[in-house]
Amino acid sequence: MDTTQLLKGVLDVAVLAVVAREDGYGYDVVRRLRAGGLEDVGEASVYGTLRRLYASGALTSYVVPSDEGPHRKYYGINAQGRAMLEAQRKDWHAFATAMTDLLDEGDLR
Amino acid sequence: MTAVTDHALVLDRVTAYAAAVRAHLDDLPPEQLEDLTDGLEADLAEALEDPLAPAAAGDHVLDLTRRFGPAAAYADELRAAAGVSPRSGGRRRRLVALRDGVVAVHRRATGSARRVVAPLLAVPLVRWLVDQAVAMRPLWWVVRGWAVYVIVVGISTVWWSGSSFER
Repeated sequence: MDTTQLLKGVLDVAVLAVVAREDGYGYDVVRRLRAGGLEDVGEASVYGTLRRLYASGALTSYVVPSDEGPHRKYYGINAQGRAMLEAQRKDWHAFATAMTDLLDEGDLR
Repeated sequence: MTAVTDHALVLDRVTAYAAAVRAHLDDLPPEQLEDLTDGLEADLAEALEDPLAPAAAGDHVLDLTRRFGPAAAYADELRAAAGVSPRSGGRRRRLVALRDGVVAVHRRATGSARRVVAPLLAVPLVRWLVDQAVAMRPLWWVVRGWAVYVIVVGISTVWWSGSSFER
């Protein structure tokens, strides 16, 4: 499934959801999104989204030293991020329900 | 190569790549550019050296274009994910993309040429011949001078005999 176009509007909420489940560093979030079915998600998009969400105050961040390579910057969700996630989750469900209804209706004709 | 040099080299490439990405986003307001790219270098280095990422510790560690794609595409993806419209005024962008393309092709060509030549240079006889050729560099200039002289004399002779033939 080519989700590149569809992803654009919903990457913020997808990243928030993944980080809300468990803190993660950039590439770990990429991996979890891909494992969750968004195989086409690009690294630049995810890293960019994490930086943007952090800059807007929705995420916290801390550095964890790593033996295998450079230090890793972990991101976690905060109260503002959770509120954002909740609002966007509602929007998404409303939108998805509307789309499903519209598409299924089209199917019957 | 020591680990330290290796790491310094990686940082060097990362800095250059990040600068190229920022150059492709220089039409954005400074604050937005900052939100999109603040910490880009650290993120690239982290992704590059992640043991589970594709081609970690392989040849590609130093070739960021192979790992992350052209800087222009990386910048476009950052833009798209942030919902920022693509840069307008495509001419400069096309020129930058062209420059990136040429640099990438050149880098790839030198890389593969080096890979082809390296085993040849390992043969003692070949290395000896190359060393001799390098040592005789002053002689090349003499040969070049002589060749130019022969060509000039040849052309002028032909031209002179041609013009005298017409008469």
